[in-house]
Amino acid sequence: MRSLANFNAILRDAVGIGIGTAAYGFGFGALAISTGFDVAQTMTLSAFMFTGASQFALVGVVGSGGSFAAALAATWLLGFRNLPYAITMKRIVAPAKSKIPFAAQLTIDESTAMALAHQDDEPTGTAAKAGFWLTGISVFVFWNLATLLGALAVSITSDPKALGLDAAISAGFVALLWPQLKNQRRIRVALIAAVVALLAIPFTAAGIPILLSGAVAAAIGLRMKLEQI
Amino acid sequence: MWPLVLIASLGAFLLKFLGYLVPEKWLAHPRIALVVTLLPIGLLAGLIIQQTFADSGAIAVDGRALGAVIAIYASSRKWPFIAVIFVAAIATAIARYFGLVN
Repeated sequence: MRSLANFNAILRDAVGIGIGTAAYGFGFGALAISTGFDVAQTMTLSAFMFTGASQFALVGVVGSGGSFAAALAATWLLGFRNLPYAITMKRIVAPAKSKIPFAAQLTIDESTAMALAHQDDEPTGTAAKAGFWLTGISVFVFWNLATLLGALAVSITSDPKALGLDAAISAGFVALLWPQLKNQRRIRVALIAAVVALLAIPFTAAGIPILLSGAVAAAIGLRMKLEQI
Repeated sequence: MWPLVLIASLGAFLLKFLGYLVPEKWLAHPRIALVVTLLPIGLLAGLIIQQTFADSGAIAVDGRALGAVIAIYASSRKWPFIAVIFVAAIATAIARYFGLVN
């Protein structure tokens, strides 16, 4: 991996993305504690669940008085996107059997996006593997450190909104989606999915609009040809 | 709270793990490849909308929308990830401090 021409650039991006997620890892830690989770539970979510949107959904549903089942549904529906990520990463990262549990745990938005971004760098796919592992490990370390800091600092920053941390999460999702909008068709799919989510928010439980967006995008995909996207 | 934390985390892990157990040939099918490419785009678009506009089951336009608009501009200028979210957070925090947005 180190022999890659762009290894240092990939490493630098991986660390940058890790530091970037720290902003909302901090926000998650603060939010979880203020919702009534203790530090051990908050850290278990960041280390074991380790998929930001699901973690926020769980804490959000519990915070708004949602049921056990509603909290589980929101968490798993949001985590469902990791399944196609994992199917794609199986091909691109191709981990050895013994490394699959680690690869699975590190299969998240950021590591998947980095692997996809580097899959055409060179014919062996080593750059994509480096992108996946370095980003996954970097995000894991910074995400958990930041969660701990946020959890411990909650008494000082009792209001994550005052720091714009909720806007930082929106911005993070924008920054993750942007590189995937490579052509007009993909942009159109994203816009249609966005409209579907917007229309669904007033009528469905938290998490459902996102699943509907995914379902619509998949349905549009079934009507296309591979070379069109 | 512990049962919820542990069951929810285990389920989230199994969703990731399952993807690595699915037979390779599933990926060879063009329809699967199309869905795999477009599903994350749809889900991320949905995540942006829910995170930006959802407020207890209603639609609200507040400081998060300002952050998202700034993020779209910054992404279109190819700013690094960390700069995109840092500028969005700072701008929203400042706008809230001066009472310009909720």
